[in-house]
Amino acid sequence: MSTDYAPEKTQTNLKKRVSRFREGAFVDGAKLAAPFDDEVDFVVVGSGAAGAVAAYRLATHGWKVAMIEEGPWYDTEDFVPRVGPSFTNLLRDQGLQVAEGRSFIPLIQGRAVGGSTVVNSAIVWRLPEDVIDDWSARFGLAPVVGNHALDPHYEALERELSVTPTEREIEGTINTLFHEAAHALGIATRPMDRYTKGCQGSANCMQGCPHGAKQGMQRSYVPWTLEAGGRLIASVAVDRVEIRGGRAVAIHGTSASGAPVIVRARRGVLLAASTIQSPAILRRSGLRNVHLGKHFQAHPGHGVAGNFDRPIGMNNAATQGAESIHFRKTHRFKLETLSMPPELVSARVPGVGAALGGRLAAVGNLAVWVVQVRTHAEGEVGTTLFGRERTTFTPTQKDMETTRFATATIAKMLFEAGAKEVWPGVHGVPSVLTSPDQVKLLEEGPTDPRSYGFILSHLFGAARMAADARAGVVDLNFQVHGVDGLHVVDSSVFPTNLGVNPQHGIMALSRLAADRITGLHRH
Amino acid sequence: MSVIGTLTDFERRAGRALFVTTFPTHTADGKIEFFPLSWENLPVERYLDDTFAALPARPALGLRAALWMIALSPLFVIGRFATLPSLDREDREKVLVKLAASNVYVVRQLVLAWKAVGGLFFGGLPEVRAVAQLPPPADFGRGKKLPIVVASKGAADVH
Ligand SMILES: Cc1cc2nc3c(=O)[nH]c(=O)nc-3n(C[C@H](O)[C@H](O)[C@H](O)COP(=O)(O)OP(=O)(O)OC[C@H]3O[C@@H](n4cnc5c(N)ncnc54)[C@H](O)[C@@H]3O)c2cc1C
Ligand code: SF4
Repeated sequence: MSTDYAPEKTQTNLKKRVSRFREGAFVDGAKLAAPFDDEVDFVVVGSGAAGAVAAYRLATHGWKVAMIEEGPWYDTEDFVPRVGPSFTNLLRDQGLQVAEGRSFIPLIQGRAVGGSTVVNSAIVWRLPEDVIDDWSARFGLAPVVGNHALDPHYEALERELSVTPTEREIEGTINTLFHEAAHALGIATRPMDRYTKGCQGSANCMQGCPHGAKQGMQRSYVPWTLEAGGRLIASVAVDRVEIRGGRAVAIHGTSASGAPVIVRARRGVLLAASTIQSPAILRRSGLRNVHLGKHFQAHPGHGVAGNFDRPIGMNNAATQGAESIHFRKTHRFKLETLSMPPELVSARVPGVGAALGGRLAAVGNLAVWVVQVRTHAEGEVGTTLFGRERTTFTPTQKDMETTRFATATIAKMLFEAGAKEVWPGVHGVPSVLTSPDQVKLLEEGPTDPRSYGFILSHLFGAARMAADARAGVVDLNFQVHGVDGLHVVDSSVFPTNLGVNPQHGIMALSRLAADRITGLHRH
Repeated sequence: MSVIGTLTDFERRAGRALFVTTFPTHTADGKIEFFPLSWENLPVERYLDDTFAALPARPALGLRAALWMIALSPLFVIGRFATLPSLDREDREKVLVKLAASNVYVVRQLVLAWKAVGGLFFGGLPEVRAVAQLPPPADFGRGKKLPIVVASKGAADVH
């Protein structure tokens, strides 16, 4: 009988982990007792997908690099199965950040060495050609991304991070049924490609991979940067970039222990703190640009659960393993499987009280499939009076019609797969559908965003790139228009969303950015 | 611990009442057991204290406001001049079911937010993980191979 709820340990292995690097390669901001001052060629703010890759690339080009990361360094031995402590350790605001608008939409971001790659599902997609064409035509980005310029970067990343298709042994029923049901309805699917080495299908990606299989930045490009001579300063939040004489010269931050931190940049500062935080840092640094914080885009996700009369065991499979871009171009959405731990799925099970208890007792029979919508809506990343980030986002009517259609499509697939009940999670539609005939209730269902249970984790824009200074925040060298040596290399610079998972595109662009930035300087 | 993170005794009682009612371990008549658990033995108060101590100010304030609104809602929802913890199980469930189904977005969000907080506690208990075919937290990770559930139909041909 349970009497405890959190027999968890954390950061068990930090000392051992850092002992393999040269002295001073790792600075723990949680332990800084005095002001810290340093000077390097390039300062990289953030150690997630964009920051870690750019830092490593700069270090291998021979530059002296320091990565500054707000969160602490956790890895394999530290990860715990419980969602609560994991989210406390690994997520910004413990996962309680929201985008405000017509509804409150949870906005999930990693806040740890490795950023969101510590908690993500490691799904790999190259930037679609139609996106490249659009960016080239509307924003003048052809010299950056045209002509297959990203191909060598993708290839290097895929090799270095062991991109592997989800194998049959770790597919589990949740993914197998997705393929079967979709194919029966004429919908094309594929096993997901993921950055994994020896994935065991423990469905634990969101709490951090306990098997060291997922190739998050905290166990790849971050340590590789340190091996290449770089430095990691963790548990330090960057407050602002110092700009003097039109040039970025240093970052000013505060350590978790309260010590002031200054790192001077002889060559430049690269912001890779994510679509939400990079624009906020620019604003706190005094930058003014009409496009700063504007054009924020996302892929809101909504999950639909199917209740089967046999075990599905969704937690004994790859966290996410099957997907479909069948509707990406025609309807602007992507379908995916998602194995949710009981802690998270319990909020998704309809009802409260006995109705909920009965359903939860059969949680092993559930499968959750989700839609990611490539919305048209543009939100905003601003700051509150207290200087904290504030994100606003409301899907458009058209986006909601897409969501409604996609939700109905998943319901059809779940019934096709043999679900005895489908739980659409849409207010205004019965919470439990028991026959395929009822799918029409969803097709005719509400288009109010408050009726759906969206989540945001793919974030774009807010400091977009444009060749023309009047149309964006950064130029084709990822440099802020009008400020020498201040670069933004994360998905803030993406002029639009994608309709596919962004990490691979983000990393390829930041790798390319590091090359272009290197090209601006001579050793 | 910040002032925002320190719950009063009433808030702890209201939190426990909410959890127990939202996630019952058996039917009201005791005839069907959902989970081999008893809420009496579970350290809900400690979980709430730990959770609120770690929460940033804004969500902590929001959740506390939601807790008060739910705790004081019986008068408006079922016409009873009482707080949620003082009601019996049947009435507590009535209140929560009505709030959760409300057509007012903010009202149903109150219950959803607390369902999520409760789910983080309840869903992680070994007994609940066992139902989801998961090992207890203590047996987790470190190279342990987990059982793979394979669908009855072959899927090799669908990729
Ligand atoms: C749960 C989840 C699942 C996902 N699954 C996938 C997937 O399967 N495939 C995919 O392609 N994408 C996925 N994504 C999205 C993907 O992880 C992100 O798009 C990607 O990591 C963004 O890269 P980034 O470098 O911009 O930001 P992040 O990876 O979020 O890194 C930013 C880092 O900057 C740090 N930082 C922020 N502000 C400061 C500051 N002021 N000072 C110092 N440091 C700061 C943060 O702490 C963070 O560590 C998922 C995201 C989430 C949350
Ligand atoms: S499914 Fe499990 S083993 Fe595989 S990458 Fe995710 S956490 Fe690691």
